[in-house]
Amino acid sequence: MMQVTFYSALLVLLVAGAGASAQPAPATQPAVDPTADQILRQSCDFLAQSPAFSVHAEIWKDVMLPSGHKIQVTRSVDLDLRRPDRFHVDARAHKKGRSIWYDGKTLTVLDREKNLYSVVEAPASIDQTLDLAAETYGITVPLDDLAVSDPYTSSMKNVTAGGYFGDESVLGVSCRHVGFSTDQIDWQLWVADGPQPLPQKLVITYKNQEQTPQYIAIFTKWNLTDRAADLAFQFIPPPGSAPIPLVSQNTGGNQP
Amino acid sequence: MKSNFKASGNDAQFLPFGMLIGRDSKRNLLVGVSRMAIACLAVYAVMALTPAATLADRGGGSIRAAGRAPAPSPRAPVHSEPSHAAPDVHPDVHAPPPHVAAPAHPDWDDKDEDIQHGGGYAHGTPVRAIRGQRMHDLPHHISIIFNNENYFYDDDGNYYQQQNGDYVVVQPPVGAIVTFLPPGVATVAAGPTTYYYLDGVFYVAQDNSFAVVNPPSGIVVPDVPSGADQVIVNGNVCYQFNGIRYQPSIQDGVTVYTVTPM
Repeated sequence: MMQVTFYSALLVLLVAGAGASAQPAPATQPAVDPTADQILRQSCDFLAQSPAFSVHAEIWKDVMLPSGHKIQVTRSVDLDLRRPDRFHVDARAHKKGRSIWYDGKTLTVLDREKNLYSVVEAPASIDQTLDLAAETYGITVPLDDLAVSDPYTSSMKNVTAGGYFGDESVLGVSCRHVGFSTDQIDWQLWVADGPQPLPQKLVITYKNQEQTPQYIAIFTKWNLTDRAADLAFQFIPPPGSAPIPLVSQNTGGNQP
Repeated sequence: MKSNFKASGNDAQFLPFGMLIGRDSKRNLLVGVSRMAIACLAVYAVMALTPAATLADRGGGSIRAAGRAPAPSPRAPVHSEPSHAAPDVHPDVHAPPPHVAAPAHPDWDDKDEDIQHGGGYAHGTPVRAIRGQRMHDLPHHISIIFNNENYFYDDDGNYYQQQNGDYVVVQPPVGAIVTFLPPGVATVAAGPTTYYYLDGVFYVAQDNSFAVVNPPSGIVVPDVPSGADQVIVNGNVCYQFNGIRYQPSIQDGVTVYTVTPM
């Protein structure tokens, strides 16, 4: 019986492969382990159904130097979010920091080191605002994968394979370890094993880039209560700060 | 169809092509080999069915961003690799320019690094001297003669002139030639020309050296010179230094400065 199954699968794959070489590529079913899919879906659904949350992330990123060396830089990020139309992000590196506020009407970016900020009108939802920031202004809001309204669909969009790699602890929290692949990246997630399946660790490997740099985030201080006041999502200019333009990717920069 | 990925517990080993086997079982090994064969074919099938990757990585740390197509941008990058190797004509003072550039696919906070103007391997963190600063002794330097005047150019890219027995930090004259770029210099492309920028000084490659030049209007640089004055012009904050205005804006999430000669 097992042999029959094996040869049946072999035949199906050979036929599929032969057909693919002659025809335009149709949509393929990602090879995702059902357990991995279930773990991710549970976590994402839990996040999506949380009307508000805050989380702290310690982040390590590989940076490639022109000399060929690979070094790692560190920063921390705090995200406060209230669905469907509020978030605030603080990102801090050594001596420096950037913050972003979205209050349902405006998007503000503050360069804390230089004490300069930009304010632009924003759409009515977090998703639309994340897209505006990324596509119009070239800003990837930190932890945006957690902030979107449907994290599962968003993160699975380009996935071609996924697996479940057993249970591990992350900072003492028992987690279920899953990993997924796209054409561009491999990403792994450690999800807390319990009634609150929150992400505890994320690793993204940029497998097509030289030296395959990684991004590592450890998530702590999850808080699912709506503790942030409205004021937390509103930008109040720091003393001495000054407004400057937020330039569209299509209009700024060094023109030929 | 069986998944390529299957594991249970921590004793499983993850092998290529999703093959996972136990520690000590021949039967498991055979099963694993069979799975590997299937997985190989599955990978082949997926590769054959999947269009070639056309999406660029943008936005480090974001799964969403990794799948996003690159935004059209007509402008040249603020930071990029030098288009040529700097000449190694001064080996006793320095290696070729220890330029530290942004990653290939910068994120909004990647440029927020001290390494942008830090040292790196084989040299320490550069010291940025403010124009007008006086000192009794010079750091390690070379001498430059320009228009019959003596200048001293130190390893960190600062320029000095001797005044009343001291050495005063000065702006280098346009036209001065140096044989190596200072550490931390940013590469800025403007049209067909590649400029190198550091702390209010612009260079272009010239033969086997680098010449100090005036910047073209509209060029965008990553920071303002130390000692620049903040002023308000037409209600907008900007910075002035050595006859050049630096207009700040946030582009791709990073504060940059558009240069306009005054």
